[in-house]
Amino acid sequence: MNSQFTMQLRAERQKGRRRHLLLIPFLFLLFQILWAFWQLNHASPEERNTGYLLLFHHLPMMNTILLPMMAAVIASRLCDMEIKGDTLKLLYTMQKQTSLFDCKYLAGLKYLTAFTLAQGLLIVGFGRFYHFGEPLEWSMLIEHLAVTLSVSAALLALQQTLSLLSASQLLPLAAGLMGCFLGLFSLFFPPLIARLFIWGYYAAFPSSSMDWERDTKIVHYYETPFPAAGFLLFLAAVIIIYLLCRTITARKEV
Amino acid sequence: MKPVIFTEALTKQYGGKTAVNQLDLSVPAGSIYGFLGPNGAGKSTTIKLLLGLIKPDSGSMKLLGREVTEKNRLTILSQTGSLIESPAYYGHLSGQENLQIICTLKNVPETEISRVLQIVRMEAQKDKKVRQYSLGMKQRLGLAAALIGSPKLLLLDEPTNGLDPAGIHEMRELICSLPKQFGITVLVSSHLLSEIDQMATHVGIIDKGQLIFQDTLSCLHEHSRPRLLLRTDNDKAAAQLLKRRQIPADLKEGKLYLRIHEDEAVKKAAALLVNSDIGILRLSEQQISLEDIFLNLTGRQVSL
Amino acid sequence: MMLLRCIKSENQKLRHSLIFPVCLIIPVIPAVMGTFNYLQNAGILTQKWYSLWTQHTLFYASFFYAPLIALYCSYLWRLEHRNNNWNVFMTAPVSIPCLYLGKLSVIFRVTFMTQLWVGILYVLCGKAIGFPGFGPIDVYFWLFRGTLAAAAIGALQLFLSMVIRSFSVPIGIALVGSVLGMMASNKGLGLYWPYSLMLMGMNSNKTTDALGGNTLPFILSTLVFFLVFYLTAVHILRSKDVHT
Repeated sequence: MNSQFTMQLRAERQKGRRRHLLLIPFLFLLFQILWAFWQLNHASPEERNTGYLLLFHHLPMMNTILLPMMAAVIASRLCDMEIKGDTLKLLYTMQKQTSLFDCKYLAGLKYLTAFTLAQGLLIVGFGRFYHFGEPLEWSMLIEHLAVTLSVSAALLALQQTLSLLSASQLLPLAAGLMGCFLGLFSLFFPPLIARLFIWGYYAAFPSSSMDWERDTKIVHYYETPFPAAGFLLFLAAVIIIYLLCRTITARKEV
Repeated sequence: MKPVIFTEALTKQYGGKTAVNQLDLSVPAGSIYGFLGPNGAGKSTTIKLLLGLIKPDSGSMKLLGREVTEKNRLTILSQTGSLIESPAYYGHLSGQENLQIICTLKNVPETEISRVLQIVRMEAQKDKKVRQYSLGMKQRLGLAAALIGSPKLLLLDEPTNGLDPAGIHEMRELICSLPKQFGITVLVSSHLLSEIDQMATHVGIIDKGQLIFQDTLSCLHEHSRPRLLLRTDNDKAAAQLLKRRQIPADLKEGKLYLRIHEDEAVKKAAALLVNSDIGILRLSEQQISLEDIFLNLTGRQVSL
Repeated sequence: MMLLRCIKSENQKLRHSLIFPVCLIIPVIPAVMGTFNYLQNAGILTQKWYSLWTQHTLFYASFFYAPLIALYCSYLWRLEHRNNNWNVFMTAPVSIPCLYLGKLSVIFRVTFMTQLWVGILYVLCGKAIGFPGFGPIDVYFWLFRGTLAAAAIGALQLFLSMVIRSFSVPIGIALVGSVLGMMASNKGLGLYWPYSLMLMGMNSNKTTDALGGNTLPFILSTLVFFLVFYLTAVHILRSKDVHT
């Protein structure tokens, strides 16, 4: 069983040849690097002193705008080859529907993980480059990356389900776009309402917060305790979402 | 009469590999031109070149008496119907709706739709979404689309692909009827000799991008006159003897063939052998298959 | 005449498609959430109709307008990218500029409907929270300007979706391009980056006119971008081999 799954994973890897999937996270990351340069160049020396906190505060927002779409693009790119080639009915004679879902998911998650890790490197790299005053707290970095990856993982499951079920791919991409929208708006909502929108969870577990004095326009970043219990609850929800999506996909007949 | 399709030294390369090489095609008006060749010989590439879908590297083409240029593109296309590779369709629309789009683009009234649907016998399925069609139905819809606007020239690339035997038969009948009924010239490609044999009036055979035969079907059949298989008690000696007396005979793979047909010549040859003390065991007539002709032309075995 | 036929055929292709529901549903999000946000912050947002405008359109114009157009474009080309339709598309007896303009016109029409709907939602939401009148005339002008900007983005995205045979990648590019566009317009470079044009045209981050009443360079920039992408696309269609 295990070796069979490994083979199926390998097949998924073979399908990805010449798709240049890595370009997608690379494009998004490239943009974030550009953005980080821009943000830090415009920051005051005091802000730059607390540079890590600044990044931990602003990156979740950037992620909220970009990552739901990135998850949608990756899922669609991976699933659309099956739709275009009409290969699902062939594949389902060789592997279980749930197993294909798992393999596709892992294939997509690979790119999200790569992106998340690269974002981690970006944070560390910028810290060195701009000589942030305050040292990096590794626990904060890990928390940030864990939140980013887990939200992306949940969105990938949703997007993959839509992409596998939609012949035209219009629906999943529209959903991705809507997700970006809802997530971004939810950042400005009171927490209770914001928690209704999973796309906004990138910023739901902040380890850094910001004060802004209206008159002096001085920005001040400070640390906030990481809501570990809430995050664990969210992780459980991610797993439930994944299983739900997997069941829905498997029930669809081809 | 001027040929409807005329190409000179038409050449197309893909990354150093020559897909179509110095092709001189000549398709007479009112003919059904069978374009024959194994898979990957360059049939689809040629048809795409003729339609301007891909651009030639060198050579010239004339369709319906006009040079294929950007200027003449629209005039030629408006008198040409085509079915290339697998059928093209919009899956979320019905057959009828797909044909409406073709009517709009070709600027012909939508009354054409019922006419072509009748020709391909698809009236009953016209309101079904094409996504749910079988491959054969999609293929027939493709032909219907090609027939819209009564084109003067029809280019059909493997039109019997995916059809069942009854469908193949129907498609063949249909293609055969087109020149007589509507005055359409048809170029139909196929990798099956038997299929071309049953439809075409003219044949072009392409192999590795090169045209190796082009003439009427009957001329092709000239190559396939029956030959005589001769079995004697000493084939080798018989072959030498016949050759000495300049009677055309071949010894191939241990089998002796006589390339003579007239009764008198056969009588003479037989007498010669018997008189030389060679015993004749069998003398039988053998039909040359089209596969053999192809083998003769290309000099290599191809799976057809 | 030929162009009309191309437009008609493109419209026929859109039957039974989900593109119109999408163009109806997506603008509802910024309308509802923007209004909600306005009510949350009514204390700081004092300019009534103008404030509501920024709330409605800030995110829409900055980040989502271009990807939405990209979505329409990807859908339109996907029809041709699938099932060998390129062969039929390119053997239709119509000129290549007409073929492309046919697609563009559909994009413009759907975008126009989207923008109209954004405007209607804006008025409806304003009325619902009890604003007097129907909003200042400026806002309608900005809405119109934002629609003009779609000419550049429509041509660009249609070009991208034609060349990149993927449904999703051009949409991702549009999103990244838009966020870059926000940065570019903050730097005052907006007129040189097509994705900034939406934001600037819609005037959605300020309550006074971002272009300072100077609309001409904006229109010029839109026109130049439109021509560049349109001509490139037509050139590619003319000269490149069709592969299905």
